[in-house]
Amino acid sequence: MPKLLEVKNLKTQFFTQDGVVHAVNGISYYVNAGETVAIVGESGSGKSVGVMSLIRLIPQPPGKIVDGEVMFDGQDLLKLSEDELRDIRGNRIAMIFQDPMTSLNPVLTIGRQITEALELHLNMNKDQARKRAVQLLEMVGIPGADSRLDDYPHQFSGGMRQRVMIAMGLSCDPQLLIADEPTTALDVTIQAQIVDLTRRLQDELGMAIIWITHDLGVVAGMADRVIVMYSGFIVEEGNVNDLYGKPRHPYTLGLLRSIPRLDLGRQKRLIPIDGLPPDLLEPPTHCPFAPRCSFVQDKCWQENPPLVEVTPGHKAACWVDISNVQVQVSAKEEAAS
Amino acid sequence: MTAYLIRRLFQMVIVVFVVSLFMFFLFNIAPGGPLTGLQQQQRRITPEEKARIRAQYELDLYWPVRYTRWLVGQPQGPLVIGGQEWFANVPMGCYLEATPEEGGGCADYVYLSEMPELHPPIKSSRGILFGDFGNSTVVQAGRPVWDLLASRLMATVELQVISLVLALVIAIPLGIYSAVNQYSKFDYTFTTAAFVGSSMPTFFFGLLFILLFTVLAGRAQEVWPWWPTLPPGLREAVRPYDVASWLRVQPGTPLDRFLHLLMPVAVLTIFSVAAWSRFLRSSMLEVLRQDYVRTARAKGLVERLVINKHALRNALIPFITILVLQIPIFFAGAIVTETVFAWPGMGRLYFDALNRSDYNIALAFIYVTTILTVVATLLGDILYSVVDPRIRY
Repeated sequence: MPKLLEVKNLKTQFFTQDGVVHAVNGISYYVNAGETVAIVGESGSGKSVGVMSLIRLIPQPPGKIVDGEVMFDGQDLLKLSEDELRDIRGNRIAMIFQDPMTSLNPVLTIGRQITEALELHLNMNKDQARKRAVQLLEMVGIPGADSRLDDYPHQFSGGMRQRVMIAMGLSCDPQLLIADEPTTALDVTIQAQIVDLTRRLQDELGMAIIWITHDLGVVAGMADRVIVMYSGFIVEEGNVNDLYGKPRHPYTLGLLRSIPRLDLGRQKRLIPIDGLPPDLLEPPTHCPFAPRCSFVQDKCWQENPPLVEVTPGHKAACWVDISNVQVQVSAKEEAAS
Repeated sequence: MTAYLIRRLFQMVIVVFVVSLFMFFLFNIAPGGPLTGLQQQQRRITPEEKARIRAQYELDLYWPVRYTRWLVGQPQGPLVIGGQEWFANVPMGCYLEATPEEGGGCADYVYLSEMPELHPPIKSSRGILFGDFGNSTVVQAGRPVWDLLASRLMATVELQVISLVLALVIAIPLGIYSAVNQYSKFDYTFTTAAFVGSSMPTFFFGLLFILLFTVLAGRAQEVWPWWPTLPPGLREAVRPYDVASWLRVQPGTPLDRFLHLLMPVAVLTIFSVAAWSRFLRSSMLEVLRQDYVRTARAKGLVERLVINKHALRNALIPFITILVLQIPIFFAGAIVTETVFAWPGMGRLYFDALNRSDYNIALAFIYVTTILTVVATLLGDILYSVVDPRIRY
């Protein structure tokens, strides 16, 4: 499969009064056409800033993309002029956001907000854009689409608004859809609906998706590959089965062990990751996860491990091969419980 | 919406009533009054003469009686039902106060039956509720207050409309530009200047301008020949005057009126621009941080559209409050600025009326301003529901 998007050594920093916030510290990854890549990490791990940097949506100033390349279809997005980039935003790369309650403009009808991009990128006239908007709303499953075009965002529920956001994102038939925690603000049943909807639309339209979340459970059913971020670094990357079945980074293992599982019965307690993520104002030179890691060794305090391929297609940034150690640890835990 | 409007109208009537009662009471307990000057000029005034003059200003009546006479023009005499006079002997005020030797209290009451004789209807009004504001007592004694207000209104409206339009045209782009370029050099300069402009009292700029363009203009012209001399007061000149050595202005010409407008308009505009652009800047900053602005950018809209269509509309919503409250000011004028520039408008009339205890003018002024303020507030609330679809009554 051809690479649709290739990010190389992307670094984004925020120059604030308190100092420089190192939000994204040189991440590299790729997305193939039609593929779903999930980026997972806790709050402040740089996952949102990382993707917003792709289409330069971070507020500048104080934010600044200090280094890197974002190759999209043969062009470096970071080198494009503002005008050239605008032709791509909303057109070939669309984005949907975390909070559908605040991401729609409260004083414009949703029809106006959808048709705006159609008129801009596809040069449709008002009638054509309106017809297309009705189709889009029907596609995302909003009943009575024709009459609802003239409604305002506050007349929709949270789940319906996220559907509107998705309709808006898909309006110009993008090659890449970036979904920045699209289900976080919704309750669980609606989350499932949105995930199903996105998957169905991906099958129909064939776009690639970058799905950002902190919820590994949501990702499991829909992603092809998963990227785990911590403290502005990619710490592990692999296809979904490898990463869930044989995690190679202690942080991924920690995340997996803190998900409640129905198949493990009542006795098994969730194991949280102790401690807090590091201060991004002064990123450590050692492994950023070392203070919270139960596998920590001397080397971890001396040097930050690079992201290396551990098995084909599976990369991890850890000095320890936890696939061996892990067995002993689980055995110990079994014995203890 | 209808139920809401009816409820609001009802509330507005109550507010206006309470305000009128309250201000009438305050004027009553305030020291001074139309007689203060009189007593100082003529020390040897007899108690009888004093009582006669007091009666002329209706000061002999108790204040609630004066209030109802001011409000609805009653009571004017005893109640006559079937040829029979009722309540004829109820005291309405004290015509002649007893001296301390007589033991204080009242020597001669004004009874209801005496009202037609002592206070004939021609002297008082039919009541403010029926559109009669009474006559001026001091400033232009005998002239109907409404007539006096009307003669001053145009001068104030002229001043206010011009400075409002100017202020809007300047303040809105300034506020937007400053917010969009937050923390730029322009923004720092602007916020500092706006802070100074809105904190200085208006008379400071008024006096500063008079100093620069009138008092010291002659000296300035020795150094810079282009420096203009501007007229410091009134709407029109009385005699021809020189703005510069080569320009003589005839009184009453459009140029003359324009030159007279310059300084007062500048003062009012500076103040409004400073206050409003600061307000708009913070409102705009608030909106620019919103998620939907990011959504608009993610759609690929040009920045101009993002600002003007998505951000500005939301940022202007709270601005409605400020704008509608300009409506009472169109009537009331700018008291300080008009006084500094001797502008023959409403503000200065009010200032004169207060200074010289012309209560009918002062009360009418406050009454009309109150009504306009409550109406403007209602208008603002209705406008909110027009521009913001989330608000429904």
